[in-house]
Amino acid sequence: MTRDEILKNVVEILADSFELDPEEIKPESTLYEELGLDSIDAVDIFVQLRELTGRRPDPDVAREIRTVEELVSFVESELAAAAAGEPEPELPPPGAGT
Amino acid sequence: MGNDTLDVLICGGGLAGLTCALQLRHAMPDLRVTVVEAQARPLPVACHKVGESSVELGTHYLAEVLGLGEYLRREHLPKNGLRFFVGPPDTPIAERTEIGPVESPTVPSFQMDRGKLETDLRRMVEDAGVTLLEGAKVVGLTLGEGGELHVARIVMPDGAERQLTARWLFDAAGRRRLIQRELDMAREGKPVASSAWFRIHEKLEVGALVPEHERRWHARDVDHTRWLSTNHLMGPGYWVWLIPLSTGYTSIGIVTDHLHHDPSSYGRKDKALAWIAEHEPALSRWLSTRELEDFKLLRHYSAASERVFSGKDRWACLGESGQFLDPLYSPGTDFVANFNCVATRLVREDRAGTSTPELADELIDMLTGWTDDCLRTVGDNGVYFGRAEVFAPKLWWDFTHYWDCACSYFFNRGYELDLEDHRRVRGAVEQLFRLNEQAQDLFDSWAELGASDQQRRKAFVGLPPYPGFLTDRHLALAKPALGDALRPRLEEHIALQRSVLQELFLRALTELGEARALGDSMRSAGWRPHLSAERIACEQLPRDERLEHISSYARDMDRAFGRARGDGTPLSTLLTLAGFHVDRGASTPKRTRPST
Repeated sequence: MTRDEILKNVVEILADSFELDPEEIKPESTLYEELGLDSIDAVDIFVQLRELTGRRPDPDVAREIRTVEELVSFVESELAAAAAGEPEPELPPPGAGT
Repeated sequence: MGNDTLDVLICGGGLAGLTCALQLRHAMPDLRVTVVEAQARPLPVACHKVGESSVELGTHYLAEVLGLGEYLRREHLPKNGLRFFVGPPDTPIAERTEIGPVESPTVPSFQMDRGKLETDLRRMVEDAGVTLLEGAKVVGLTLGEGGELHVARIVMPDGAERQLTARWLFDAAGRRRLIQRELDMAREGKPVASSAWFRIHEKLEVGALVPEHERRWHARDVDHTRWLSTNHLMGPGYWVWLIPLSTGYTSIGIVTDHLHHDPSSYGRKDKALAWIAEHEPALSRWLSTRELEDFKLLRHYSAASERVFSGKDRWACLGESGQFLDPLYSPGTDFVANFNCVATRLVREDRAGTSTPELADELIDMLTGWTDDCLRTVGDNGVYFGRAEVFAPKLWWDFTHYWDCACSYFFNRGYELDLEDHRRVRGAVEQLFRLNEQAQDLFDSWAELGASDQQRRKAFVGLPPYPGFLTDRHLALAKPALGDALRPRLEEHIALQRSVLQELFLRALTELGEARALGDSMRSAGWRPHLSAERIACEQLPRDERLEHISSYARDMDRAFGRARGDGTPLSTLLTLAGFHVDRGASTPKRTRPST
């Protein structure tokens, strides 16, 4: 997938999930301030991105992402890691400790 | 009582009978318990019996009440929840809506190989001191009324006839329905549905049924655990289950309702394969190079009864010998659990001289209530199987109702409460039953009034959304509310369920637009909303402001299903058309910032 294709997919996910106008979503848009998203939305974005990457994200990396462009770069590096056969981050099982 | 008299005779050594025997001996280590079972060991693995999938309540019974948790984790497969592929006819699997958990559930359930499980249980009951008569057949029963003993005539494997007398008699012989036939109480059940099933000696990845080029569909399964779910391939009036077993087999079954499908059309191996080729061609291609082992057809499988338990005359029909509703949501082990716990309690009270007819009636009434409630949930469901837009919200409700009602009662040992406390708890449970009836009426109307809309199909509905309200309802099961704490817990659940039902109604109203008809049907179900003006008005606000005014479960429904979309008619207008009033007492939300 090229960077442009990834951007197109990311914009589509954001627009469909959060009632946003695709025209409003620019690479430099900040997720939380400009697009008005919150932490639950962020979780849902990364669940949806699994369909592009086939991988679980590293939560520490995911937490640092602030803009649409950074989301695109994240998907790009996940795809590269998947292609190189890099192992996924070791994570505690979901719900552990709750 | 003479020395030859048993305390309890259990006819039938399947899952219900063996677990009951084990539970009785755990509770009363000197109790004289005999199990008579026609089939001798060795039992075939995999191809023994259907009913491999357990859900939370039955799993809690096996793992915690009977203490088999470690055994199940070691010898059987952890289940990755229920997963459904729902779509109109002739739709490839990847183009249907997938409904399933976002993350593997924390509260456990299992895929159990029944041949293996029952072989192991036989060993466990013998170790626990139960007398197990294998290869022996029950050829006659005389039920003792009042204070009299029950008498069973048994033919032993060598042909010799024996007579057993017992104070309590439990029929766990499945569809032979010994007591029901003896008392002439067996009735044909509802829903009218049929099933056929077989096994394949190979692991089936549901992904093997979807072409590789459906990359998103495959990528979604990041943990490669989709195959551990009970996978349901669904279309109008039918579903097909795919259940993996620890012994390397896959159980495959067809379930159909009588309105859409004739069981004769799949009643033999070759016909079943032709039926699958017509309705589930991808599965058919996978099966074409494999051999079907074992094949069974069960026509009109539902079984009902006038009465399945008598405290006064000390008999009960456990497991499928009393009634069987439907395999949807795998409730078989739950029924075993509920009935066995009441049976054990009543034997214990009887033995201690503390039993009263009121207590027995109270507990048995609860069992009847569960059965009716479960029937309302799973009965006549064929209409939903091709319709994700109604089935997904129904699943949402069915999960929360199941966890908040049946599971909460059982996990907290409601069946051990004393009479007065139990009556109060049952009062709360019955309010939850009532809400379930109204919710099911809502889904029936939703399906009837709406049309399938494949244009707006969602590829994946994460149920429960994680993290979220529904996941919290599930995790709440791990927090005990024993004794006095159970009723307040159930009261909380009533308030929550009421609000959840209201949100589901608003969603149906928005999507259907058939306000008058929907309003009429909910009114005749005795339901009306308690909506604040704020809740209704916030629908007009921008998303981030609206989120400040809606509940967490309303938001989670949006996350799972997408925002409800109608023809643009404001919700307040739809409510007026439906004949419902909005409480004007609450203030209308103000915009906190100008919309851009």
